[in-house]
Amino acid sequence: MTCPGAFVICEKRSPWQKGDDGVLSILDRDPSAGGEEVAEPPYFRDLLLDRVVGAITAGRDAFHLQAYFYRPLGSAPAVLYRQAVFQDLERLPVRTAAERFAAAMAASRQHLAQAEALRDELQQHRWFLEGTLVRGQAIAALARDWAAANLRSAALGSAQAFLNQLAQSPAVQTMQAEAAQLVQDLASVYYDVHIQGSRVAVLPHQGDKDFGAAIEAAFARFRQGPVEPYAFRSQRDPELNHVEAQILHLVAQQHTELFSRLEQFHSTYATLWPPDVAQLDRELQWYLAWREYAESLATAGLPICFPEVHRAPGPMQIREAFHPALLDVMRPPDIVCNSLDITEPECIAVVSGPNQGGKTTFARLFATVHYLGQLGGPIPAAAARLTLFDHIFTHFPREERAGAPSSHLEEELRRMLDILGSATRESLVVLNEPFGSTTAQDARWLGQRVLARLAEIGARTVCVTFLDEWSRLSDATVSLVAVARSARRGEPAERTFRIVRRPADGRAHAVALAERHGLGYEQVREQLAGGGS
Amino acid sequence: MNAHLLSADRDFDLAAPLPWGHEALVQDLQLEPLLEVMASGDPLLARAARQGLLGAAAAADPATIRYRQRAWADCCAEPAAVQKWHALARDGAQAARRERAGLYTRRADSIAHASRRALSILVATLAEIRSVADAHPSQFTSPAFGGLANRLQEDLSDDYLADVTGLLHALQFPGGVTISAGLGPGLQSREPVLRGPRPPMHGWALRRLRRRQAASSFVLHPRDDAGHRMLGEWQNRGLEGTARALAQSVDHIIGFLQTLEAETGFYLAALNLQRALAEKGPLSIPEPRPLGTSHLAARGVWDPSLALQQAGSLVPNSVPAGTANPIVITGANRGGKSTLLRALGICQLLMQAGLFVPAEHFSASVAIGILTHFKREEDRALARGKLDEELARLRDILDHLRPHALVLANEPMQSTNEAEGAAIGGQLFRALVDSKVRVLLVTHLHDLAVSLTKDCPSALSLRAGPPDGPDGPFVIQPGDPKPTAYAEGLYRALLGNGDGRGDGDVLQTSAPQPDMLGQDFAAAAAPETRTSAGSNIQHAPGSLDRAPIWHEAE
Repeated sequence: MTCPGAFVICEKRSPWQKGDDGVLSILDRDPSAGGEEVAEPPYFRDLLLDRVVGAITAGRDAFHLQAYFYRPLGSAPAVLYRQAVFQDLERLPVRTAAERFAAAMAASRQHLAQAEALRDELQQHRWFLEGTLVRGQAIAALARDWAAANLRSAALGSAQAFLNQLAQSPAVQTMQAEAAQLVQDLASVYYDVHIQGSRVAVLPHQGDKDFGAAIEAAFARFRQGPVEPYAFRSQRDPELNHVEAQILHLVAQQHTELFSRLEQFHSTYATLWPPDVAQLDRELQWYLAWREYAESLATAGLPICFPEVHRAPGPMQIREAFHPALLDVMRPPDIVCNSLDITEPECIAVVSGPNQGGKTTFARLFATVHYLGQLGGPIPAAAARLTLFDHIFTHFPREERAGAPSSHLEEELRRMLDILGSATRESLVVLNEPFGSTTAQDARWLGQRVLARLAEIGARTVCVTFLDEWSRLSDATVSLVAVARSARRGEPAERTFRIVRRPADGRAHAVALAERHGLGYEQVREQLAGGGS
Repeated sequence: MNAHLLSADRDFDLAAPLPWGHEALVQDLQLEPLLEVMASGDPLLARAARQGLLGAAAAADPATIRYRQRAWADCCAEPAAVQKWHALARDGAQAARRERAGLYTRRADSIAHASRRALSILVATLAEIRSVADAHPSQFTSPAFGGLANRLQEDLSDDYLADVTGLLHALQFPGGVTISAGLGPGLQSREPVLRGPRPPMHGWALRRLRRRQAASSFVLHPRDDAGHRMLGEWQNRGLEGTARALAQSVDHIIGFLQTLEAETGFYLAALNLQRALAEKGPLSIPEPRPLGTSHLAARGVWDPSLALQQAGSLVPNSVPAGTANPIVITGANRGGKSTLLRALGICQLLMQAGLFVPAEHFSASVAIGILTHFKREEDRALARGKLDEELARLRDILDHLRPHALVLANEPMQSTNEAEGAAIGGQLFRALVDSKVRVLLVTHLHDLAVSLTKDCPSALSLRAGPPDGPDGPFVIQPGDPKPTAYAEGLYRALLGNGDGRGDGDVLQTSAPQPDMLGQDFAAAAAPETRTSAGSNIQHAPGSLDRAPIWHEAE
């Protein structure tokens, strides 16, 4: 399964040799952990991870990088293996070399595809020469630049060694020399075309002067400053038409030795590159895409960090984090960051507070940060200490389908019981307003049981609810409240999207209603305080 | 090749943006009548006059002014040559543009052919322009016109014109087209370039070339239309460089002709103005002083705009020579204060444009920017909101001021009461003066005038008023502000009793005035007659005519 031009972009993993001691990948410390492509996890959409991944991989569709995002890592060393690569890429020489390599690979791919697409054999050979030469130069340049850059990560170190070996191999060295000579010789061909009526003659260049330059010189004394550039938009098909092809073949007749060398080059080097080069390119794209995304967030003034990742159990801390999908709907300065600490014996955070206060976003954020952290990349937080999860379970309200066989409550409950049956001490659970479709009394009763069971399992859970009693169930629950406050006196409540650790005081509904009318506690306080001073 | 008739080192650019505030300048100094006379119905002259005059508000270089003053002397001596150049440049550029009109194609061959035809016309025009210089060999003494005549004779020699004509002829390609090219990255032709003109070949060399060409060639089938089209496109790519060179040469020469047309147009417009003003009063060549000295001296200065609008004799004024800043003009209603302010502004502008001025003598430091803040119709209501408007206008002006600019303010702070106006205006204008902005100010706000003349050591106070009691002739001369605007004289005039003798009472501005003495009327000039060449303004009571500043010449 090869793509045009002997280039392989999306084939099965093909581990490359690192000296004699085995195979490696710059994504996986233990390449056997990778392997078959997996599908998008079921919770991706609930957590809006699909949007985050879409934003990271935007513009790199050809590489199918999404697949790499569907496989969270299983161990702290695996995470560190990738974090080390990101940190290497933070250094300008390492990154610039990688970006140049990526750009050259893209150019090379385009040339080789061009070679496949054209009909004229001379043209095909010429584009093949270009693509092969550019790829060889890209490999040599990356090997050289990374050697000088003092790489710290094991992954890039091995990759550099591989590239170096490839670039130094006799086949590649000979190819480079031949290609460079051919390019130079072809560039020095210069010919005259004499057109008179329908007759077209081709001869080596006779040395006549440039007519345009003669005109320019004759009228130079009238030059008055900038004038219209007269840009001619001659669209040129890369494919030669039959007139151009006849001209080219007359030129080739006059340089028979040169054009036979060109043909020879193609037949000799058609299968020069191992597919590993393409895979390195793809894996590197994954790092570059994420790094570029993280940089764009940091440039916008948003926090970015590499999390500490530990095996559960243990304290879990997230400082000043935000959900990157918010960037789809608001400007960076408007984004509010939130923090969350959970220490044993706590394992369940119950979030209550006014509608539209950022509760659901907060719940998504909790799992999103863990997920991204466990992919080994930089996360949207100022600092974080995360614990490894074995699985993420989400419970979000589903659209009610008309004519569904079971009732809404029944469907919800069934999904909940699945979670309770599968979750472990190392799982993350996100519950978003469960049992919102039933009566408050039923919801209270069901909720108590569900949370008690989750506490028993010890799964770290964030639960968004309008029933704040849930937060007082046991030592295992922590209460978080979304606060609303008006920025100025007399103005309606402004949502702050801040979630703070505070006991829920049974006012969640009332507060929401009052604030919508500008009568929230904070608002009235502020108004009175302002009036008194 | 540049015309450079207005400046030794710059072309006159009709499209250059005019300095900020030029609309206010036109309105406040009443420049439209001048501009109209200058244009005399010719749209190009209108643009040249506007650009030359208003652009001069921001240009402040005594050397350039003198450069134009010398050119102006040549214009006055040889107006026919200037007129001839102007017409040749205009007609030649127009004919060349016509050759290319309707050429919407971007095909190199069409552009090359049209440009070749346009160039033939332009080369002929240039030859005629040179012959005007030949016909007036030593008449031009200024660096501007003399320099242009020299350049024309040097750069457009007969040999040069013959060479260029030959080159244009070769562009008809009697022996076919030769285009050279290299191989591009995909073996397409790279950078095709038209070659030639080839020196004529004869005998065996030509035969040898023909033989070689025949051995390595192909012939398109006559019915291969697609092939002919492709060949045409290929040839067009080779022609691009030449077509560009031709088209740009046309643009450059048209650019030169347009500049010549505009620059001669400016002087032709000035000649029109001179003819119109010569019969109205004395004109003189002013003396520009360097930037930053705040020098001003004016003798017998008159307002040309009023002169053009009204027949009659003029009432000139004078400002004693000095380096005063600010110059504060106060005094009698209808005493000619605004007229003097306008006349001084126009003189400054005409001087900076390099032209003559309506004065017996005028010399002044050049100013970087001439900005006006005149009382406006819309400011008349004494409402609070109007002050905001006025202050916003002043803020705008301030945003466009630099040190050594000249600000002409006519009755500022009209939109508020005297105390507030004096407070705001006092600190504002003092700040301007201290920042080396030159201020010419007409005000009837006594407190403002007093505070400015007291707080600025270099202030000059001029007062319009009767030297001998309220009924005497009005003069503008140095004198401290007085808390009266001589309303009594006006009051009598309006009563129309013709009684020239007053009872000695002087009406205070604070006293209630009859309704008909509103702002409307105060803005109009009083009837005055010219009494002497000096600075007297005689107030002739008894006339209710609106704004005649002089009587019909007897």
